[in-house]
Amino acid sequence: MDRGKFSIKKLSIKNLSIQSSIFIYFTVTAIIAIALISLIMFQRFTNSLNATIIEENSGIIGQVGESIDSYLRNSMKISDSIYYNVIKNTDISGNEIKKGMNLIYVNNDNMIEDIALISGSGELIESMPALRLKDNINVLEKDFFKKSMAESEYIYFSMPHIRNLFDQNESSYSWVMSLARAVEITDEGKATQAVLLINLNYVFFEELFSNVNLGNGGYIYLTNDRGDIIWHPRQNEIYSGRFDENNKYAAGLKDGISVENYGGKKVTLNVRTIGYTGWKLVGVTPNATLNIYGIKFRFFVVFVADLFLFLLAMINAFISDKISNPIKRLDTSVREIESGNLDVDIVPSGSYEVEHLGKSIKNMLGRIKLLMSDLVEEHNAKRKSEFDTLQSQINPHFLYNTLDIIVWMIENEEPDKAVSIVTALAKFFRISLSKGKNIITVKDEIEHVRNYLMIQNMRFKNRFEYSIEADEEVLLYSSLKLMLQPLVENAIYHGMEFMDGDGEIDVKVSKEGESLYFTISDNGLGMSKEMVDKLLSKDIMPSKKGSGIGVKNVNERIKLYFGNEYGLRVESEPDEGTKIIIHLPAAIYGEGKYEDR
Amino acid sequence: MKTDKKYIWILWFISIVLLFIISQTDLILKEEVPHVYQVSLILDSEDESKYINLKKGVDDAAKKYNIDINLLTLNNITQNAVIYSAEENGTNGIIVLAKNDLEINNKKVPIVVLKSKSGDIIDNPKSGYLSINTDYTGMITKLYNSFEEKFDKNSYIYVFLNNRDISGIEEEIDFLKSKQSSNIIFIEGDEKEFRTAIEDLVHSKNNAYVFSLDKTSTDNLCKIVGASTVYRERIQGFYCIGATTFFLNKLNDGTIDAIATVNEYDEGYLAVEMLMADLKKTNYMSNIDMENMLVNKESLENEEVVKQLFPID
Repeated sequence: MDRGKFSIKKLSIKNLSIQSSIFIYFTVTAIIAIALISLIMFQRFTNSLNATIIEENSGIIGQVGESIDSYLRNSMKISDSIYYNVIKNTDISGNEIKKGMNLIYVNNDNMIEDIALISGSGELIESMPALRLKDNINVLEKDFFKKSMAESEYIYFSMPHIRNLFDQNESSYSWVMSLARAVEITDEGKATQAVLLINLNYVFFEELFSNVNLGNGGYIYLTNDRGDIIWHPRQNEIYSGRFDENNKYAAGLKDGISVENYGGKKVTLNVRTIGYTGWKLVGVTPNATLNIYGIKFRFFVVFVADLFLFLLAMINAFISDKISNPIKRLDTSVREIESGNLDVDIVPSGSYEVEHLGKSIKNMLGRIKLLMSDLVEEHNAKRKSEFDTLQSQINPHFLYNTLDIIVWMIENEEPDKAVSIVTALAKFFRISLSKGKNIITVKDEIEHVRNYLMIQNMRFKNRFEYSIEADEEVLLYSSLKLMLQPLVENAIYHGMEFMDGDGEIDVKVSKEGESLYFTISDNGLGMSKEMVDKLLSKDIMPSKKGSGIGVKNVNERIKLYFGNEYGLRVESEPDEGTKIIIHLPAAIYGEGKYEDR
Repeated sequence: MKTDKKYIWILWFISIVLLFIISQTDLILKEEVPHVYQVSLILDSEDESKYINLKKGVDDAAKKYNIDINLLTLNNITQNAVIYSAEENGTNGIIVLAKNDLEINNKKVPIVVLKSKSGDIIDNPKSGYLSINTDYTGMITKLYNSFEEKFDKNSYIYVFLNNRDISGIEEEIDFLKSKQSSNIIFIEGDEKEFRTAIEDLVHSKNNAYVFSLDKTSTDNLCKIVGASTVYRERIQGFYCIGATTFFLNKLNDGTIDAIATVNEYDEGYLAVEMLMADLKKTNYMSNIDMENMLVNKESLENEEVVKQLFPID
């Protein structure tokens, strides 16, 4: 279940990369477009094919229709010819009718099975070839006779039927269509009604339809106006009920093309009415789509669609790659920045928007770096200012004690000592001020601490001794103002306070290579390692007894002014004294490298 | 590109190649092309007119199923030899008339047997052959019923037959024997034997009702009877089994009184349909029993009957 959920989540559009999203959207769009285009093209193709087939079939049907029309007109002309040229005004007792009928029969014997002239009483007057009515045949009851006699101007065309009126070859039979009309005959000078019967050879009639093939498996057939089949390529199958034709419906249609659904198949019916008889020539064309559903054709359509999709997908992949790659690179850079690496290199590329975004991020990163630099500088300046403030705050207690000593000396009439201490105090403050500078010479810094030690020594009534050693060459090097005084102060207050007068404080300055080393050592109580570690930690507070500038601050000031590689280190063991070593760069004062910034 | 994506592209490309091979070549999928089947129609007589309607039915169905019909006649060769020869010549199927000596076991191609007796052939699709059955007893019954209406009960009954190998003959004889134990005379043979029998009848001044049990006998009898009105005078009724155009014309002119037959056009058509169903293995058609029809002169006025008996060429 969990795996399932995970997969669904994984498939979610939100989790897709921009490349996958572009690819999927493009491909889905392409699939829809191809499907639509294929459908439209397929429809257009089949419609066009159908239209072509129907058009061609219409032409064929028109030709066949004209042939049938011509055949019927010919038949009627023969009938007219027999009537007006042979029968009319000719006495039937003579031989002329026989001669005339024979002439016409011989000229049309492929088309005509026989010609017969039947009297109004149903007797055979003349026939060609010579025929005899079958025994027991009552011509008067026959349809052709009744209809012809009923409408004298009407030329009657019968449905195809077996020729069964006359005796014939016993081993064969023939199908005929009868043309009959009422005629006026002259019998011994008297005019009387008779019927002219022409049996038209059905085989000859069928030839009108031979070799007529409509495209796409189509066919034509002929019905009368009631829908009875006159000719059909599958006539026997229809008679035996093995083939079903929509002939009754088609006979009711007007001339033209109509699409019908018959027997579950879509067919186009093309109807043409044959003049005079009202017969309907019907062309049946199955819908083209039925024939192009071959399994291979379907596979071919799928193949073409698949191929197009494949090509489109490749193009999509290329485009999505082209669009997404600069974004991906930008994303990687932004992730780097997010993780804190501001030195990442952003190379804007890609489309206009993406390039612009890259440039913007690059500019923003530049501004962030600048702001951060400003912030650091501001912070440093602030801290310097704080140190400067601290530095300027000489412990008033120290000043009060010193002045108290001076008063005491003056009262005890020790003016020389008072003068010395006042002079020392004056120098002390002069160097403390140093015109506001923080970087002073080693010489001034030593002088400053010397004055301080001298005052404190007097104050503590020589309970400790001190010494200051400095090579001549180091005196002109740069040093940090009030750097030694807090350390010495610590040595006095924390190292000498409980000693009985054997205290020693030594200050040494030396140069080693490019470095200056200040060493303040005492023989005081010393410190444990934990205390030493704590001394330089951030959370230690300066002693209220001293100047307020603690060891930690001195260290930080050194790093601030000279860099992180410089500073102080403390070496101390309990009861063994303490040694503080300050490491400064060896830089000649006034050469500008470490001047006040 | 990730490996799984590469696999998708490769599989896709393979599918395109596969579709191309399927749609444009015959390597995988071979589309069915219209196949012209060779079917042998074996008749027992050189005279096609005896089976003209049957052949029309076969021809019309052959057009529908794209079949080339090869008409074979016996020509003094046995039916089995003709079937063997047709098989050797590569025919796809055989339509053959039933005869009592017909051997249809172990045939190489599908066979449809026409005019077999009902129940002659086991209706079993695995047997390799199918039949269109004629109910000969039913036909002779109809014919006998028609005869019985006119029978004066004093005249002889002459039963003519060409030979007893023809399918159904034995059943018909048995039926007639069961109905008429006396006054019934069976004449087996050809025109010569028939003419002798008719001559004897005329000279004996007796009357007779005539049954002809096969087309050959009917043909011979029509020729004999048609040659002299004297013969016709002695024949009170003429009843035959099987129709041809000639017989129907004779029925029309009154020489023959009634004919029992089947719709031979349908029989031929169905034979081809049955054979094709077997050849194409589309669907199994069980053996068919043809419906009998009794035709007399009045029937020929019926347009539907005429259409069945006189199919258009």
